[in-house]
Amino acid sequence: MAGSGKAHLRNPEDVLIRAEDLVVEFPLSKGRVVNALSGISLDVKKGETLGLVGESGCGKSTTAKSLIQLPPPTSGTVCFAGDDLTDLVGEDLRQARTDLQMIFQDPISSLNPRRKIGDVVAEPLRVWGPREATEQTELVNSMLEAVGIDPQISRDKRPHEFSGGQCQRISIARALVLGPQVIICDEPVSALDVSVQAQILNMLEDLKADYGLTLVFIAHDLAVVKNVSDRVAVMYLGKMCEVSEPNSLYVTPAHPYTKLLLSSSPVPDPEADIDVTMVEEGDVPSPIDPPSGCRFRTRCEYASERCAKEEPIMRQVSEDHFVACHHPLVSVPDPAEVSA
Amino acid sequence: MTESETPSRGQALLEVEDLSTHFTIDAGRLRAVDQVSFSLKPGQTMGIVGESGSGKTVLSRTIMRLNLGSNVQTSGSVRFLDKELLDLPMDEMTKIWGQDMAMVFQDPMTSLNPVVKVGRQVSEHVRKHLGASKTESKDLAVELLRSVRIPEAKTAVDRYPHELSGGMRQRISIAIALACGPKLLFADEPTTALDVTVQHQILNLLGIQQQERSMAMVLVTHDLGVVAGRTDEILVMYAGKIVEKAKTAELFKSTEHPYTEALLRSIPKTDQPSHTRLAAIAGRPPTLIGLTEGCSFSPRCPYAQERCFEEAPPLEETTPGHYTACWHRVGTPENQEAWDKNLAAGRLSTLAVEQGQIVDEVPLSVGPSDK
Repeated sequence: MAGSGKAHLRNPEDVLIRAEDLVVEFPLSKGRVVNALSGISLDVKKGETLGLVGESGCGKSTTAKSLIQLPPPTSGTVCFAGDDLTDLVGEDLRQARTDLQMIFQDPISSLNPRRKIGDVVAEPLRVWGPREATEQTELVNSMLEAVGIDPQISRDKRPHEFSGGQCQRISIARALVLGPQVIICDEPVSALDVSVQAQILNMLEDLKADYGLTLVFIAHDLAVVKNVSDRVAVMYLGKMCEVSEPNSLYVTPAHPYTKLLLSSSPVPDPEADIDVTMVEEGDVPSPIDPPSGCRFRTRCEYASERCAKEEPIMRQVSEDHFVACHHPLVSVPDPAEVSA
Repeated sequence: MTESETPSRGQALLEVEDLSTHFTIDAGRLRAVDQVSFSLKPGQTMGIVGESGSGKTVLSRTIMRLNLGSNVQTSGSVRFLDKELLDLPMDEMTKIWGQDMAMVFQDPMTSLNPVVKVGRQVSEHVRKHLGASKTESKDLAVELLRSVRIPEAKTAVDRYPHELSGGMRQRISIAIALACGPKLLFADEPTTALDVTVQHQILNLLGIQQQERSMAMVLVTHDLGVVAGRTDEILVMYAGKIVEKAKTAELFKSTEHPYTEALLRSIPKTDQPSHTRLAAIAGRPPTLIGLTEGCSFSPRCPYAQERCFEEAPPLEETTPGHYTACWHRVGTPENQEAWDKNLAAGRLSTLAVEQGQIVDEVPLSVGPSDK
């Protein structure tokens, strides 16, 4: 398998989710396939927030969705709390999914406009929760309160009566009502104004502490990801480029792609040093026919012949910092540490 | 506050004075833009910043006279190249659109015609305004696509928008806007729908083209990071009004309006450590319907005092070139005093900043809670 290595994975006993060699292919006509994910491995410890960053089309959302088997990956394994989710079918899989919930990007379209928000939040309980109606109501009320929405006033309102930020908080309440262990947040703040974004990010931190949640947080804004994450994974065209704890990643990025992302992010400081002349020709290559070797080589200023022939394998650069690159921007301590 | 009476008037390319745009809707009169004045010199870049609903898009559309509809009332004056645009008949406006003034819209997916090849869309203006022939205009289209760095421009002119990525489509929109060499370009959230790497390139492209053509540009965005390194001057809008106006460096260095300060504080930054608590802004923007007394930011403002709810602060020049509309400007002793007083009183909007709490219902007076 064209994997990018697993050096960054930690001891399986210490982690809550461990996904290995995830491959997701979507078939096209004439036998061609879209290589959405090509050998992604990642793990998340209990109580940790893993940030996933990358440009659109790099497979961030596909990774998140394949963790909850929506759809199941073409190949690879997802271990969660001792089970391999890819082996589960039918009732077992349904039951397992109650522990993994999701928050989506567009807060308004992810709520049914015709339903009252009390019912929207109660829906998971109607399927899985306690049978008693009063118990359900209590749970819904406490969940709405936890996200800062007054249940007495709001239960009978419909989504259009709320702002985007409030709708996103209602989605969070819906995701939390079954008491899941893991929340997958797929760009939860990209549709919101900065002032509302700050509220949601603060609230996710509070809820994480209160309910002992583990988060997988997807965003394209590097500053947002740094704010919430304990570990950040940078993805490009269905591959993992770099995995690190945030401080080391943002101060000394090792992968040229991470550096490109960092230098492109807008900084609210007029004195920041920005390169105002760089305009690349062309586009991100197509995942239908990805470049050989390192997939980033077509846009990489350090690319050599080796990059076209040989796929880089994930290796360690410092304690919790791993990179898959033949020409990393920081020195790699000892090649013996590279594990297969 | 305007310099329109001074002899430098001839230098300004665009002069907007007391411009208001109101919409009459069932619920009443919606003041989308209220008494906005600014001027822009040739070659200058102006940033307009604000949250959704602050009136920044309506302002740029009003200047270009794109608010067509029977329920719109516009007053004030927009002078562009010594013409009063608000009085011009529409057929005169069509001569200005594209040739002298052009716009790049936010969404490159919907601003292009899906059933027309991009080459024709790019050269449409040129054929209409400059009367270029078919072959001439095709060559020009190729030239324009090259100038916005579209690879293989010769074959790209025969493509349809759906065959191109979002970034490439936005480059096409820029090529369309630049086709006739306008003197003023409005870029309305040109990069909001795009990835950071593409955003960086589109902004660079706009900057390069602007310099080459010494064109003036108005960059409308909600992201202070986008305007920071790329504009000469910034207008911060809130509830249809300008609340602060200053040279870019000055605005970031000595922020005076509490709203600007709040926006800056709520943005996560890459040089902060992880899990830094962000300062939130309490409440949400006002509805803009009906008359409001006092400062429209006062319910959400951590520094608001009684006066703020009673009397709207005027936009005043505090230091040369720096205009702020606030009674308790950030950095002044009155501001510190107001903060201490509100914090002691437990004002919700102040606590939202101090503790990052979520506050939806903001107090409509100075008290800690008044509902």
